[in-house]
Amino acid sequence: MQQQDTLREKYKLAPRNAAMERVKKLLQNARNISLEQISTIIASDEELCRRAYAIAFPSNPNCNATQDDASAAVDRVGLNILVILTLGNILNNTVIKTFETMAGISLKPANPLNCLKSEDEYLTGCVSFHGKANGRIYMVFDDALSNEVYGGVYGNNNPTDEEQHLVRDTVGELVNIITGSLQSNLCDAGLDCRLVVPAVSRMEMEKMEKPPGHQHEVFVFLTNGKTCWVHLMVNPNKF
Amino acid sequence: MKYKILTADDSKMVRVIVGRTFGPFNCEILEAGSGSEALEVISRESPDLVILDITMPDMTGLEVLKTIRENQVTAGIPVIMLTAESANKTVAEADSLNVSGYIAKPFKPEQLLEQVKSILNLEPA
Repeated sequence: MQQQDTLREKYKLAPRNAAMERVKKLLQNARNISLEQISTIIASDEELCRRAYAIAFPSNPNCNATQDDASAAVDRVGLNILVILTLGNILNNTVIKTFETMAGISLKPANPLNCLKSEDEYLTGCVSFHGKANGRIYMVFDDALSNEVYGGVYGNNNPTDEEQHLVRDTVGELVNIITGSLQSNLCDAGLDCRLVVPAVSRMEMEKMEKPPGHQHEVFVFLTNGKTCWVHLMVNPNKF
Repeated sequence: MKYKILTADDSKMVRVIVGRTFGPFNCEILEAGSGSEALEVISRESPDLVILDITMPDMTGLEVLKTIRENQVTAGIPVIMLTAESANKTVAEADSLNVSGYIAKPFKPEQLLEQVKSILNLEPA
């Protein structure tokens, strides 16, 4: 571990984030960890605690993210689901950082329940990961957002038909960065997995394929009325 | 001196950002969109520095790096990894192949410029 930290310092790479450390703790101690210890880990992250509570008590959204709330949620939600929720938090932060750094776009997380589903076709990037963790990520960009992402790189928010391949390339690279970062976190948490090269196409959200038995978490991000939906699907039985 | 810098990445977006970063300097930017194309350009152009992605369709960046190091003619070329893959194992593998720098995407052009300037004496164009 010390050698790994030294290498990260040598190349000025950011240390692994706290959420990844939580995943590691949950997984490494899966057989011996007490409910109280799990609750403490979950309660240390307010957003994570709220998500776990919402899954445990879908009809009662009143969560104050206290240790008691965490305990109540942990009592009902399995350890693997908590791991997936923690991965969701990592994904959430990575999406925001990637848009900001690569395209100068500030995304704000929004409540998926408040964001209307659309039947329109949108540019969608899809990446699967396989190994000790198995799942799939879909990132859906509404047209105004994909054009803005393109504009953030090429300086023009109105791509022509001839430039549409560059819009797809830009969306594909953002998806690649976000999923690559998640995969790196998974590997460092002991969940070695490999990624399939991202596929980008226009599709309706309803046509996204959810592999059987996968836990499905949806994250929504907004910027000036433009929307990005991120669907994280992970098989909770294959850690 | 006009340096040759090769950027090997399957994303045009990244190649454009890299090209723009070094636009103000007296260097020539070469591009490759795949691992095999990178090896072709390296063999033909003998670049002074390679900026290398890992996830590419035909060969991974680590396979390209290994091939560069195994060839006596190219073994000494400085390589900076510019990739979304930053798992400890991957960084260790690149380190064992003597990389000069490792930048995790998402990245800021200034990070790249700083690392390249520590290797090449870039001058304004």
